[in-house]
Amino acid sequence: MARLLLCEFRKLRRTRLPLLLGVAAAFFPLFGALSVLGGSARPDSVYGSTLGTLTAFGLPFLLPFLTGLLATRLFFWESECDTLKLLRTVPVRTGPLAVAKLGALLLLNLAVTALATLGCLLAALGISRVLLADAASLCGLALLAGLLQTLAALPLVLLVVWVRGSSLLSLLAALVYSIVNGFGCLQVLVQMGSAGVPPEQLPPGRQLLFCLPGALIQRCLFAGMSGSPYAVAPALLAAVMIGMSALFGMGIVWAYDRWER
Amino acid sequence: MTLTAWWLAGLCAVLGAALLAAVWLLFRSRQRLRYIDSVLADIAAGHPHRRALTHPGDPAERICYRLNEMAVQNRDQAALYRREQAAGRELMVNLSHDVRTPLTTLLGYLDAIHRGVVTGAERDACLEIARGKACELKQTVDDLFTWSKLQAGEESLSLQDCDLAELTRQRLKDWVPLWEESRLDYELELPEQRVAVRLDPDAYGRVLNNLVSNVLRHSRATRLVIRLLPGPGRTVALQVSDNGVGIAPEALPHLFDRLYRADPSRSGPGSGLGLDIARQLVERMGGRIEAESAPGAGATFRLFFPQSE
Amino acid sequence: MEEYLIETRGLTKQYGSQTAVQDLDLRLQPGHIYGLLGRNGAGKTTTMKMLLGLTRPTRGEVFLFGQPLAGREKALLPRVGCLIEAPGFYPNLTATENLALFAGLRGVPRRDAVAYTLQLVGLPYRDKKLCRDYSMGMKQRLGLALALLHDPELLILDEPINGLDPIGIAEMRVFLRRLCDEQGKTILLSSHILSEIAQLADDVGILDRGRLLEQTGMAALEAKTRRYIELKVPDARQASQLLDSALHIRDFTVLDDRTLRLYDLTLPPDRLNRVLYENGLTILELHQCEDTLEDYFRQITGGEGIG
Repeated sequence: MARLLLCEFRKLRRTRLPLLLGVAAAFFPLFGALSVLGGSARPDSVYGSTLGTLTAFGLPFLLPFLTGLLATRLFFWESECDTLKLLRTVPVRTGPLAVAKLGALLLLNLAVTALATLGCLLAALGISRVLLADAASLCGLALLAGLLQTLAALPLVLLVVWVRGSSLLSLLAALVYSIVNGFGCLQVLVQMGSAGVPPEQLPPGRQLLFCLPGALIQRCLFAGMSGSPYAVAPALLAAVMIGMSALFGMGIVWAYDRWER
Repeated sequence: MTLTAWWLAGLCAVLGAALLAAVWLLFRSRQRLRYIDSVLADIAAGHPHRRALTHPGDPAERICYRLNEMAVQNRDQAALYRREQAAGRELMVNLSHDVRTPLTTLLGYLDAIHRGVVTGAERDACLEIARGKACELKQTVDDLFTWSKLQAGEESLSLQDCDLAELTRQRLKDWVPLWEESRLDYELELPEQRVAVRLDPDAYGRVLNNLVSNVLRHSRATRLVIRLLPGPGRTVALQVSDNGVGIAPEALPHLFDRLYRADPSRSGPGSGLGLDIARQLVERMGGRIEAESAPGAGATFRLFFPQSE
Repeated sequence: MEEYLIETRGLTKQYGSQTAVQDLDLRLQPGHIYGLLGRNGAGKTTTMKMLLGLTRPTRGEVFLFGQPLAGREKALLPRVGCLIEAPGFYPNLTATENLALFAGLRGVPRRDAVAYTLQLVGLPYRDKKLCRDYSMGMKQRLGLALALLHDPELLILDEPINGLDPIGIAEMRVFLRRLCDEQGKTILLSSHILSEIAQLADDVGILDRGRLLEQTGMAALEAKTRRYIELKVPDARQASQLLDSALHIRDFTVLDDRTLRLYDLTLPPDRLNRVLYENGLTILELHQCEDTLEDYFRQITGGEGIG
């Protein structure tokens, strides 16, 4: 498995990937810098909260979109290069291959999150000459959020594999999914931040929205900000995420196998 | 929990991980050994082309490489052995032909004489031809004997300091009458001064005889030039050139190697071992022989010997 | 040592109502080059895919190295090298990187396997050229390199001379023959080009519309191709009538109104000539000929030629 994972990265040589990831990662520090320089926010609060901004607002929008793009590239490269027949005579079964690709996807997303976090910290250091006191825990939070949001995007990956790599469809799907996810997460935060309306009293549509995986993550991570009604226990979240990963992971493996056979 | 407890927990975790790693490594090593065993079993069971595949960092990496190397060597040696066997068989067949043909002819002539079919002058002529065939036969058998001894490394040469120019002149003197008889136009360019080399004079004589007699027998040449020239480095070259029929390009690489002859249907007198013997003798004396030819444009044989003193 | 390196029993593949391969009993002897001959669409590629486990057969079994392939791919496939359809490679990598990738996955039999294999097929080692910029011939060589990287005992090559120029074809022929003779590899190759198979293969399998019509050694096949006497006459009808009535020869075919082929060779040509002449028929031309492999192919596949 380690070898398969390494091979996935080797296959990405000389692509525009590093550029893409770098751009994605640089987005938030840039955004934060602009808002500070634009005068709309104070430096230390921005950067204290930019890290929070990153986690709370940025990742839910960014990661599903990135995931969709990466999934398209990772899962269809064999088909495009006609190398699947070679891989299968190594022999490598489609199951482990799909798992390796998912692993690569996860690692790349984590890399982007890490880069973004680092970027924000450096920006904070550069602009406000302040090393944030709780930088370490905020970084941990960001990475965790990155991992979880990636897992939350697994249904998107399943969709992408299901439509067999039609790039237009995948792109659209990624866009839609990321907007929905981001919007949902945003709404959750807004709702949590405003005066405490308990979740049961929300309209059913909203309730449903707040039960989406992305929203659940937000509620678990940021519940401390608003108070108990919206809080989701870590154990519950863990169970949901593991169950979801398992389910969609297997689905992806099955879909890939079915498609490539 | 206290700090000590944390440290203890951490230590346990590290130890646990190390233990797991060790167990895993052990398991993997055993797995690899089983794999190598299965490959060896396969090779022994009659699949000589089975290879063991390995990765850098594999505990059995170097064993696999060596195993495969040995298998390849084995295969090449087996192939070489088969080729040599086949060549040896071919050699035997050809030689028996080379002996039987003149013997049959010889017997034919002797039969004719014995039955009184030929008389008088014709009879004498037949006797003369029969004698010639017998000599040919003896030459073939002698060649074979020499060749076998050379192959087995049993031929001993006594190297002496000689003057190559003078030696060549001496040997070629005996050929002059034959050349005149065959109306061969010959030219000898041998220097007057001493050309010092270390050779076995008899062996050198044999080589020279072989080259010159080939010209007479096979080349159908009208002109023969023998030169002694300085060669590359500190060598001296003896060049024997004729303007005869030449040698086919396919036969050229195998000219000096009797075992790997290009032309299976060779006809004509001579055992064909002459050039091989010549090569072996020349090489044993520290020299080199080469041939250059184009069909219809004659042939040139060159012997290179290192100069002494 | 078991008899066959590849053996199939009743191998069948159906796509819905269409049968691609029917009841194939392929047998490949170790150390031989086996040429699978067939028109385009005869089922050669499908058969090869089933031999490698890329396609699951509808019925029948595949045996490699005397063992069933199903369930034992991990042990058996590393001993096989293949080149199916167009060569597959990653275009954004160089040849060395492509080979190194597969070397990392499958393992290598020697430390310098990548360099050695590239040198064997005639591609540069550690070259900067990306595979997407390769010419057709180089791509084919890369595919061959990928198949040879792990020094397999068995090679399965699907139309290896596809897209090569005449010099490339000759080189490939020499190369494959050397692999078989010097390195003892067993090669299964498919082609729709008769002359190539005739020159290269030790054994031949003729595949037509999914069925293996014939499977013999090349020598036996050449013996089977029939000898005949070809006659050119002014009037084929008169000649055929004469052959029947005067000579009682019935084993012949009329090609057109001036040409006949006599398969009955019991009559010596001079007698034939004399008898026909005596009956007023002049023979314009008389050749002793042999069926080509093409004719034989046409004969057993029922009419249409190859290609």
